Amino acid sequence: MNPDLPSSSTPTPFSLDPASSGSETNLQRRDFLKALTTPVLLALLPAAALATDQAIITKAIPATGERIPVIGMGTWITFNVGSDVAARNLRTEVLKTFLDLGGRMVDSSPMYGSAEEVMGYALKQLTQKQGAKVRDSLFATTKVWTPFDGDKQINDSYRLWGVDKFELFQIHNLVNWQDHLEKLLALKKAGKIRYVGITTSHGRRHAELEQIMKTQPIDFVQLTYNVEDREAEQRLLPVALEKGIAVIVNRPFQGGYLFDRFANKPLPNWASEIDCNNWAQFFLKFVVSHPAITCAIPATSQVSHMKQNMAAGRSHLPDQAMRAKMLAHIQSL
Amino acid sequence: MELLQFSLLDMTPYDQRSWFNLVAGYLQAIWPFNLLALLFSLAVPALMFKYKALSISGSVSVRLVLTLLGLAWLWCGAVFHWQFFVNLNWAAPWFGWVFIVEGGLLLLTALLLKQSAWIPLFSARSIFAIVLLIAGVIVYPLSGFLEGRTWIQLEWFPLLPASVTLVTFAVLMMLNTCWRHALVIIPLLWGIVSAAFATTLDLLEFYFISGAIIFWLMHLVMKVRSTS
Repeated sequence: MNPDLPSSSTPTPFSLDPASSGSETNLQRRDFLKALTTPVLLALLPAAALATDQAIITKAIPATGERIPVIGMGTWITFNVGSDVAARNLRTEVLKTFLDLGGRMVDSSPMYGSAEEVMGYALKQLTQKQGAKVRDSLFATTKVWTPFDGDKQINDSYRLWGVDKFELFQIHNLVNWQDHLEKLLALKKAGKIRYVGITTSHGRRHAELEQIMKTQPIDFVQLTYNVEDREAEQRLLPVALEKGIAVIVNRPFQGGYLFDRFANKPLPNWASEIDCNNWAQFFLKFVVSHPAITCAIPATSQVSHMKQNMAAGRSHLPDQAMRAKMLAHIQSL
Repeated sequence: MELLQFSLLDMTPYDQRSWFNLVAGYLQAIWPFNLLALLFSLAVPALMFKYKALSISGSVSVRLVLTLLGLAWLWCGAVFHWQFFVNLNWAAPWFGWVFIVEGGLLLLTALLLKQSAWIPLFSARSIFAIVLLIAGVIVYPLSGFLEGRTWIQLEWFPLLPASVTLVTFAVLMMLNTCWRHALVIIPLLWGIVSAAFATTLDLLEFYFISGAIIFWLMHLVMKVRSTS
């Protein structure tokens, strides 16, 4: 049984960062912060103000037991800003906020235009200011995505990020996965990669992914899952639990569609029971509270949105009953 | 074949703001070629409609315009797609090759097309062409202001693909040779692709390019009706 599985007999199934305490002062600050529900006010707060009042929720990577925060960061579109220095510096601030708030997993791909190069730029900037702790806290994650030989693309990723090791290297959307898996497993053996994974999105090729999960020695899968798109619940997530494969969720906001549809509607009053102050937190808490899911990787280009996202990875997560309530509410709107 | 699973959204890994910034960065980086572009923008309409005042024949005027247009496609392929757009879009090198091929075809046509002329003015077809030419050279670039762009983010002919495509439709519509049907294949295909991209980024380009394609199809229908 997965140790992270919420159930009535395990009321606090998620690991809380021991560095965070629940002192009276912190509770008062939390109450104050809860009142700050607008992005504008949140953006004015320093990251540290949000970082210390509630514990970071982590989940274990089944292959090793290593724990990572349940909220990671994607870079699709948001970090593809080319050589625009002002835009690169803004993304650096987004990454800094993410890391300051305890985030670790950053996911990219050679498919995302200049995103890997911009990530390398941001890491270099932050490392110059904050030193090696930036790299130490980072869970660097990228992908190989080519129907041809992947050597050049893989080497390019190391160069663009400016790292000599990736925590996780994935095969993007199953493209040429047989060849790439062989290469990535060799890199893992050589110590250049710690984990190997495979990804899909938009519900593509689930049947083939399921077979790979059942037969190949992979540590991670990445797939699409959110309150609107729950196809993965049928087969992939149970297989992940059974085979001990960590699950990263992309498109937790269904590519922004969830905000288009629900942002003009008020949050239910009971959302405060799970410390949700906005829809982003509602959607993210729903996703990462699934027992098979290790983390979600929402992408944003705004510091205020990053702060909102990261707040979803603190305090506590909904249990099964609350998840059902959340889903019923969404379906009623 | 595995790449065919990817959707148009996958081919658009950037947002509207990044696109505008890319255009601005590109236009700043290529200075002072922008001045040469202004000359192109003036030369194409002048050669199409005022060639007699310039003391050149219609045939020479056609060949000169096709040459300018060919250079515009080559520039967009080799400079814009390969050097700049590639920073945002992994498919840009492929797009660049498409533009190089069309540019080559236009230059080859300019070289080989000995006898040709423009169709007479004041026909329905020429009105379509004039509308498209004005759209490509003036209206489309300036429509960027409606999208919240600044001056430096506007897509001027012949520096960016959409305006070049619009002007190409206009020029080919004014030609009296059947070569134009071969030359329009790539602009039509690119028009479909770029209009689709424009919808994912919520750009006005969609309406301009779609309109150009509709104009092209309408003039074909009118031609078929008039000959039957």
